[in-house]
Amino acid sequence: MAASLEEANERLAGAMDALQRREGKTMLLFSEPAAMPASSALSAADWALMNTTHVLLDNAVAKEASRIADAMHLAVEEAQEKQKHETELANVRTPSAATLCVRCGV
Amino acid sequence: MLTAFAPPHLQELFLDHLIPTVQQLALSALNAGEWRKALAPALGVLQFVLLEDCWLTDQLVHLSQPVLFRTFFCTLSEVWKALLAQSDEDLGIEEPDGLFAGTYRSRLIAVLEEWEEETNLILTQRFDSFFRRIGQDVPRLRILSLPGSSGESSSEDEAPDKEPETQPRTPLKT
Repeated sequence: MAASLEEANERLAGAMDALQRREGKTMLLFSEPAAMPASSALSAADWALMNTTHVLLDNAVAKEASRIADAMHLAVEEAQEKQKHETELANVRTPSAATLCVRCGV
Repeated sequence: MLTAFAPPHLQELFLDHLIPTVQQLALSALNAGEWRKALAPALGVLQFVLLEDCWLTDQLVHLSQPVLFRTFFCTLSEVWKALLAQSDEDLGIEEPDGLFAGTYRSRLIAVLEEWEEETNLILTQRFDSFFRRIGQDVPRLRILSLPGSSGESSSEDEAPDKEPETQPRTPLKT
C-alpha cells in the first residue's frame, strides 16, 4: 500500500537533506519528487535519487543557479501582475458593450 | 497595431533576464574557462524554462529584434555544447558512489533532449512562418539535435552529416 503523497514527500525531503549533508553539496531539482510506495525495497534516499531529475552541485553553483531561476520566476509573476492590473484599469476606463449604442457605437 | 495586443511585460523577461544570463554570465565564464561558473547560469535557465513556456510563447521580441531572438537560441546551444564537452569533474557533476553512480550526465542530457525537442516544436509552429517571411533563418536549439531535424530550410540543412561536438571548444565570441 502506498504512503500518502504528503508522507512520501516528507520522507523524500528528509532523505534529500541527509544526502546533501553527507555529500556537502546542494541538490538542484528539475522535477518534483514522486510519491514513494511504502512497499518499496529501496531506501528513501535511493528512491529520491532514482525518481527525481536532479544534480548534486557545489553549494555556490547550486545557489547561483537557483538565484537565477528564482529571479526569472519572479519576473514572470510581476509581468503577469502588471498585465492583470493594466487589464483591470482598461476595463474600468472602457465602457462596456452594453452601454454603447448598437448603431453608432457611442 | 500588433504590439497593442501583446503582453508587453514578458519582453522584459526575455531582454533583461534570459539574454543577459546566457550571453553575459554563461558565455563570459566559458570564455574564461570557468566551467562551473558557466554551468550555474545554464542550469538556472534550464530550471526556469522547464517550468514555464510563457517566456517563449508570450513575447514579441522576435518581431522587434529578430536577429537577437534567433541568436539567443544559437548562443544557448553553443553554451550547452561547450559545457557538455567538459568532464564531469570539471563541471562538478560527479555523482556520489552508490547504486546510481555516474548517471548525472545522462540524466541531464535526457532533460536537455526533451526540452530541446519541445522548444523546437514551439519555434516551428509559432515562429517559422515569420522568419521565412522576412527572409531569415529560422531559430532553433541545436544542443543535441542535428541541423535539418526540425524542419528548418536554412543553409544548415546542407550539412546534415556534421557530427555534434564532443571535444572541448575554443573560447566563444561574446
